[in-house]
Formats: sequence, structure tokens, C-alpha cells
Amino acid sequence: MSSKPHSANTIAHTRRMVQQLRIEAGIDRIKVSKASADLMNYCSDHARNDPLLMGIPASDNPFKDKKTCTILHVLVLFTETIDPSTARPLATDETWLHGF
Amino acid sequence: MDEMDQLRKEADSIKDQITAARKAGQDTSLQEAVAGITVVGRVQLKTRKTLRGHLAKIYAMHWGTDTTLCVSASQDGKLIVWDSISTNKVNAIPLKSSWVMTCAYAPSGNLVACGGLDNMCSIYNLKGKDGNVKVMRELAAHTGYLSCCRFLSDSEIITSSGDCTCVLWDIETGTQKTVFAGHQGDCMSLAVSPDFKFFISGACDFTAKLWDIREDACRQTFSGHESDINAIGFFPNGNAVITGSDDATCKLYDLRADQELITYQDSSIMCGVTSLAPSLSGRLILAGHDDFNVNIWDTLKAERVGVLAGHDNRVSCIGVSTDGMACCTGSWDSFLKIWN
Repeated sequence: MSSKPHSANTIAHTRRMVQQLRIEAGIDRIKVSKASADLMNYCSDHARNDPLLMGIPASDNPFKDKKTCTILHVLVLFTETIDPSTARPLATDETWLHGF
Repeated sequence: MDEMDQLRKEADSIKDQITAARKAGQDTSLQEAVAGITVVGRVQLKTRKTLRGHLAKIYAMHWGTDTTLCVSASQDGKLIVWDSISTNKVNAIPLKSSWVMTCAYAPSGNLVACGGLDNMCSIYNLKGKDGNVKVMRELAAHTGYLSCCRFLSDSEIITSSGDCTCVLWDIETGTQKTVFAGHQGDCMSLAVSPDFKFFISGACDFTAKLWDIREDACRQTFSGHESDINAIGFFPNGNAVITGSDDATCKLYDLRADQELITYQDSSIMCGVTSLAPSLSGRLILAGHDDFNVNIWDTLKAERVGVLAGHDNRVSCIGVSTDGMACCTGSWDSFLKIWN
């Protein structure tokens, strides 16, 4: 037990703390079984709409980069050459494309 | 017995009552209740985008509502609004004070806010008439650093501070509407309930408190952590609260049962939690740590189901977009990464 006299501030502060504790003690509480069941039900009800949980197909993923096709397309254009005798495009050498 | 001793005795008695009431509600545990369900499969997310542009540690990020825009704050003295899909910088806002610790995006998309060691919350209008982004208000009254802020609307914002209080501000007049006092340590983080009627705060007194915004009252206090609570968030239905602490664990507290339901911990995880975010359904909790990683937990089974490793320094902030499609992490390595 402290023998130091307490300031009015400290007593007022402790009174407020006790008053707050009374408020918190007085609330209604549900059982853990009900709380757990409600959490489980919420999770299962919403699971199929949770992209991070279910995974996102590449075609539906706006964040997934689709750059590779563009690069291949540009490289194909550059490999076409014209045969001077026929003025027709030589068959594009596709062997390097198959390597991808 | 003098009044002080009497008050202390009464306080102890009421605390015992609360402990007994909580114990009476323990007809089972969450662990037992979920015994019949399977752990989710391994969650492997990939970095889809890296947002480059900040020149120093990133301290905070926040997604806009129903959008792919997000805002980040760095101690390079800039607030950047990013388009997370194109990685373009929509706005790069220079700050008066570079010691920023938090940022927020208003649900309307019109405003962003930030604050830090300047003890102020600065509100910026992104949709000004001349196209320039300017300071709209400087909310000053806190006597400690601004640790977190969250908009209720374009006219109201809630802040948490190192001065141990949280404040509801009227942005129009720049005045404090309500001061929420009660924490015995620096308030580190806050989150607003999905119905905007309540908010929760986590503090360096190791407790989390639930506040009724309109009634100006603390309704519940949750203990159990053994160190500062750095991060806090609501479970998506608003009935439970998730906290992350320097004690390296996260905890789930149910509001209606008024008690802790489970702790997310692993002996291999020894670094404090800096940030956290639940996935859209609440089944996953993503937690950022001091050890540069993000741990992904199965919320119900309390098992670790994934890790996001990719940053070269502390993960300081994390957020899941409102449509649940992506998770954004911000780090002291100056980069933000988008994962899904």
C-alpha cells in the first residue's frame, strides 16, 4: 500500500477507469460455439467469390501480363523476306518459333 | 482504506467479473469447432506488378474503394496514387513533411490523407478544378505522431496518434468532433467497421479497443498480446477483429463473444507483425512481418498456408483490394508489389 498522498488527478483518472470497466463488464456476450459457427458460415458462404483463396484463371486476371504474344508477333513480321525472283514472301522460318 | 485503494480493489473485482463472464461463454473453442473442416490448400501468389518510383522507405499504402487505384506514402516525402494495373503514377504529391507514417484514400476517390511526425493529418483534394492536387485541410491538435487515419466520408476522418488518443474530425471546419481517450499507450493503428458505426484501435498498451463512433464511447477492450499491437483489421462481416503485434503473433477476437478465439503463431516466426489484411471471404489473413515476408494464415484452422517472399526489406504495409482480386505490399525497400 503506497503511503504517498494521491493527487486529485490520479483519483479522477482511476474513477474514470473503474466507470469504464463497469460499462465493459455489463455487455451481453454470446457463446464461443455460436461465434465460431457464424465465422465458419461466413467463410463458406463467401469462399467461392474470394479470388485470392480460389485462384484466378489467367484469362480473368487483369493483373497478369499478356506481353509475350505481342513480342512474338513483332518478331514474325521481321522474319518475312521477299524472294526477288517471285516477288513473294519467302516461307517464314518457323523453326525458331517452335522453340518457344 | 483510502479512496485510491478502494478504487483499485473495485477495478480488480470488475476485471475478475469480466474474466469469469468470458470463461462462462467458453462452451467450446474455435479450434474444436473447426475440427471437422479441412485446412485450405497451399496458397501461392505471384508478384504480378512492381510499383517503382519511391526513393525511400514506404510506410503505408491504402487501396481506393471499388477501384484499381491505390495510394502509398514514403519518407522520400511523396504521396503517390498508382494505377495498379498499368503501374502508372496518376498523382505524385510532394509533402511538406517527409516524416509520413500513414496514408488513406477516401471511399469517394476524391481525397487522400496522410500524416506522421508532424502530428498533423493533411487532406489533399485529388479532383481540384485546375487539376493541381493541393492541401485542402491540415488537421492539427494531436500532441503526438499520427500513426493511422481512415476516412468515413469526404467530410469526416478518424485518426490515431502517439498521444494515446484517436480523434474524429470534421474536415470542413478542421475541428475535432470527438476525442476517444482510454488507451494507456501510443495508438498505432485503426480500422473502421464495414457499417461505419464502429472503429477499433490497437495500441502500445498491448490492447485493442472497440469504439462507438456516434456515442463517443469505448465498448470493449481486448487483451492478450504480449507487446505493442501494430496492425488491426475487421473480419469482413464486422463481427470479429484481427490484431498483429510485435510479439510476432496475430489474434482473432470475436466482438459478440467479447473474447479472443484464436492466436496465429508459429515457433519459426520470431519477427513482429507490421501490417495485416484479411482476404475477401475472411478465410485468409495476410500478415506482413519485420523479416521481409508476408505470412498467409487459414483464419479458421490457424495454420500457415503460404508465404510471400519478394521484398528486400521489412514489409511495412499490406492491403487487399475491395474486390478481393489483389493484395498489395509496401516495403522499406521502396517498392510496392501487387500479388494474386
